[in-house]
Amino acid sequence: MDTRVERFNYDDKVVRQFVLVTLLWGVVGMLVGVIIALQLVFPELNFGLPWLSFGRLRPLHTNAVIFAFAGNTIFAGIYYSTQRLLKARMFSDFLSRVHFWGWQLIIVSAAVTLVSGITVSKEYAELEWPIDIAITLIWVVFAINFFGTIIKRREKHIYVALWFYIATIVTVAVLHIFNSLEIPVSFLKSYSVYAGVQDGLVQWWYGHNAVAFFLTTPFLGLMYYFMPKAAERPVYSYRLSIVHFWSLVFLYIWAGPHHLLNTSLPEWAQTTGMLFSLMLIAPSWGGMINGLLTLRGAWDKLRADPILKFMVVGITFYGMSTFEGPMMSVRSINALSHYTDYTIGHVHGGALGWNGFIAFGMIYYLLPKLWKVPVFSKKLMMAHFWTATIGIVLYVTSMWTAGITQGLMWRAFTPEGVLKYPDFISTVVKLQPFYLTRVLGGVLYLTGLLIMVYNVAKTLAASKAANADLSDVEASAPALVAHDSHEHTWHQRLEGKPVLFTVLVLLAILVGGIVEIVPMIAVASNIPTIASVKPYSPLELEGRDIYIREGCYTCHSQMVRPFREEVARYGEYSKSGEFVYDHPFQFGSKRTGPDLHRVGGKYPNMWHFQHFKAPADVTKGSIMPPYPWLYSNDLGTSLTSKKLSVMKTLGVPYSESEISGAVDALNAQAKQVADALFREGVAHDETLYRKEVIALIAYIQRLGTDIKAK
Amino acid sequence: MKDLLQPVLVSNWTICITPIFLMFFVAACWWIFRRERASLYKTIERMPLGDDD
Repeated sequence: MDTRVERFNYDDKVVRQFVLVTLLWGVVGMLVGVIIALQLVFPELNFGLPWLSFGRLRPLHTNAVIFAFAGNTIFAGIYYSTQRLLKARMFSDFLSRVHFWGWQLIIVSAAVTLVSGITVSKEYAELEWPIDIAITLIWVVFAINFFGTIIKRREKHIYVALWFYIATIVTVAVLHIFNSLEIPVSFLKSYSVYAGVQDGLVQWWYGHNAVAFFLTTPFLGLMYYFMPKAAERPVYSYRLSIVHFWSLVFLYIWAGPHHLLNTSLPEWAQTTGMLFSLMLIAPSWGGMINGLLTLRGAWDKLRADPILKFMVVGITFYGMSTFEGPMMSVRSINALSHYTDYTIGHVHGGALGWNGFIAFGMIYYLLPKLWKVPVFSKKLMMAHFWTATIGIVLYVTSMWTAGITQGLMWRAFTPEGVLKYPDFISTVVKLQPFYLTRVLGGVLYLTGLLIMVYNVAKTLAASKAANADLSDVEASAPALVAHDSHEHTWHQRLEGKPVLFTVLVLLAILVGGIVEIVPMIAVASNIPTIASVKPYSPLELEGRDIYIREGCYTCHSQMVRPFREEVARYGEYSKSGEFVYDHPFQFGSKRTGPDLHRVGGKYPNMWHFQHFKAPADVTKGSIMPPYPWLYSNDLGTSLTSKKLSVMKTLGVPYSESEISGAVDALNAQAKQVADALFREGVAHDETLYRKEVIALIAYIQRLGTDIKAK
Repeated sequence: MKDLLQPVLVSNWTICITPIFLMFFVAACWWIFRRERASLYKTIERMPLGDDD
């Protein structure tokens, strides 16, 4: 048996790089978050500029905090812990650099395109197809680098943290590829291959599992490594980690439909999503227990150690979110909470509490390891902890209160049986104090991060002043042997076979998606056909693309639920067959403004013409931003025929004559809309029919008019 | 019994599925917390503490 000891070193340069950009993008992403929170209180902060409008900044915020801040956190922690757990340097220094710089380039391209309105409008998957391809390539680079390190490892058995990293890499790849299937119209425009409720189901299979396998499993892996390191105590239970891991990765995938409860998604899919979301409490809390009880017998350490404070409170927020989420997945509770700010409160409890605090705890732990000097100030770490904690509490409680207020106001009836708050704006006005409190919470959390940035900068300066040796850390370990005489558990034997392990993870995560999505696509009766539903006209399609570009879906839903209060407020509830030509779907997930699915014909063209220009002038108290550029921008029609042609490829029944005559038909309809506006009092302007606002009005006036309720 | 549960029943599945999952949960808890081979598991649990940092 060859037991020679091999000497090698760890690549910590790439870890340092990921740590530093984590802080950079954290500041950027959270600053944008504070800005959009302010815009909901002071809509004048949209400044009438397209690249600063809420609808474009909100996806910038979500992408920055998820993929830039959390993403770089994950990579920093994975690169550090993987090398040490496997006792091997990363497979390829070159691939490490490609991964690092490629990911940052993706982030920059996302920032530029999103504020430019170049978006697919699918949440947390907004980026257009060239960037989707770049993400795929860089993810493959990461996967090769990670699995290559496993292959060259000196430690035979892979620790639980690595199981979670494997699940992350495999599942994110599957989710990204299938949700990003699009047909390009041009270099910067594409349409989803899915439509309507099918697109909704695929999107939320992706969306919830972006939470699961980008914001949960890698952070659980980081918890399983860094919590024991910081506490200097072993994890509570290896057997619990086995049950935790396999049940979590299997169950999570099924939970996606809980984002579509009480919509036109078929009942069986909704119920499946609800049930699996409820079952998810068990593995989630198993992980929480494993993390927290790592500190059993050593809770006194928590008093004076800010790193442990961050980690323990982070895990506690994880437990809170993973109880709250399943509760919100119960159909009757969801009926109140969906589309409200309660969802925002839930998300930020998890994101700020779990993801943020684990990131901060990990980075503070890594600072002395990576820069060879103590952290500059423990007092500043404590100040960061308390500032951020108070910030989270203010944020979450204000949003809980706002959400419940909204939900109750929307469903309130007078004793006479009519809506108590028939004007949506009354709920918006009511929420302003909560929105202001949320701003304060966000500012405090960002302030905490800025305290951290200062602390890190001073630490780096001290390291430089001390001429700290930042060369690669040397290590040694016996070479890997194929067989040894030690006793192994059955799961340890599986851990020694990483290829088999990975295949089993892949099978575990595929089951839920196949069971839920395949019938939705293959079984036609899941989406009953409605004969009166017709494709959008060329002008309406261009208007729809403007709706997508401006991010209207971030504030407006298009899904009237089958509730008495919704039918009373909006009209007939939405049927799945009405969305068959919606590539991509526009159900929305939040109602800062009212649902729009039945808005077609509700107001005259003039109302919309004035409303897009100055919403607060038309509706007192409105926080909707103005869109002055829609009145000056000419509508581009160079791609109109191509758009119809791509839609036809996707199954929308446009004829060849409709495609070839698209621009003529567009202009004819646009002139009709403009003439109607002139009759309603708009000053005559020969060029008005060519403006973008005409297309958007045409689209809005089409919404929900395909069916007529009896 | 079926008449008693009728208001909450979707099908015969729901009569069986809850106790099945409960059994799974109890079995998992028993396996997690039993004392056999505890020393072997302690070795595995200490893996992060055995590295170079």
